[in-house]
Amino acid sequence: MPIDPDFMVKRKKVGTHSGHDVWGPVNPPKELGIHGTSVAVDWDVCNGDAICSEVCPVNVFDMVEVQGHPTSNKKSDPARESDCIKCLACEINCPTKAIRIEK
Amino acid sequence: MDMREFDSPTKNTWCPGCNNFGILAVVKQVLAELVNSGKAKPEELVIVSGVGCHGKISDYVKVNSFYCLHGRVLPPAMGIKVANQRLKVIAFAGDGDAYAEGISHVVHAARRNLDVTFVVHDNEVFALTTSQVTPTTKIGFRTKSAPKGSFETPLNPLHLMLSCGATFVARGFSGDPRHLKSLLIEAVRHRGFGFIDVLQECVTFNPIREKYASKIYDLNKEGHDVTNFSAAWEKACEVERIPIGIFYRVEKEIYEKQLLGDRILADEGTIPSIKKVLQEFT
Repeated sequence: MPIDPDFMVKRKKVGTHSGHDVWGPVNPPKELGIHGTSVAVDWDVCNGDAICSEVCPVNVFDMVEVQGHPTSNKKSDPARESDCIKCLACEINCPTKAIRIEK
Repeated sequence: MDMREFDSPTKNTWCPGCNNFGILAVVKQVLAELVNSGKAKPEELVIVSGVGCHGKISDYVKVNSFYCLHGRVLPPAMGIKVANQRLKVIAFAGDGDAYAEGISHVVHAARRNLDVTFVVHDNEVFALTTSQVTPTTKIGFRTKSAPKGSFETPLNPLHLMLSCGATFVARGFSGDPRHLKSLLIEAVRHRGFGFIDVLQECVTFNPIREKYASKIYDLNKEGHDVTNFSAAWEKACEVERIPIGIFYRVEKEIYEKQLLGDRILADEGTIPSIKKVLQEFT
């Protein structure tokens, strides 16, 4: 299932990680929530493919390790979301549609 | 060397969602690999681009570059290679640039087997000038210049290149950046004219990405013989399923070697400085 485009209304901020917001619910290791706001990655949808970090022209993403999540043990972290130029290369190329860029 | 070292400070003005962003990232990765594998020094890389949305790639990659007149991508690329065979030249053109304004240059560069890589951003529309038909526009496609739909038979770029004697003929798809990267590496590695027609959408005027994505397949995974001219020609005819990958690849002596042998004109001190040449006209 792709990332919910209305996550900012339907979900609550439950914390921060590497300088960006995390939107709940978060119940590790099986539920990890959405990381980032203007560049939002649904970690419960992300399959760790890393194409986002390959096509990003401004190096927004870091791939981080997680333990025990059913989809993958690598997740794309929008570590430098303020650098985003909104080109949508990540959103277009994501195979599981886990990314949403605020337009 | 990291691909980010090729970032330029120029503000990117492509539309949000433009497929060129993915191509740009691929180009930077390939350039970094060329440097890291010792095939070229950063100062030996040259990008040449024409006029069109794609042309801005010259501004967005921090290497030596030449931003040409409309359609004239290959003449400067040829001049650069003849002056200094050591340089790795990657030339970019749009479908309007390559197949309308500049088609004669493409024909002769392929025929001569000039040792440059030629990447055509083929989105089937003149996008920078807000949508007019190009030689690859499909029949029935409505644009400002063809409000009732285009009625001209589109050109098949792969057939054109095959019949011109090109030694490396390939097709990529912007929706598969990893495949495009492997293709670009092969094209750059090829000694001779490395031609890649990159199918892409124009997100603003011709959004056809999804339609392509459902038909695309990699012909090199289906046992295609890249040295078989007839097989390449037949594969290039397919429209129901769209093959991407290397269609044709053969070895042939390159233009520069036949013209100059091992001479590097740039080292001989006979080429006047560009400043002097430009001063003549100012």
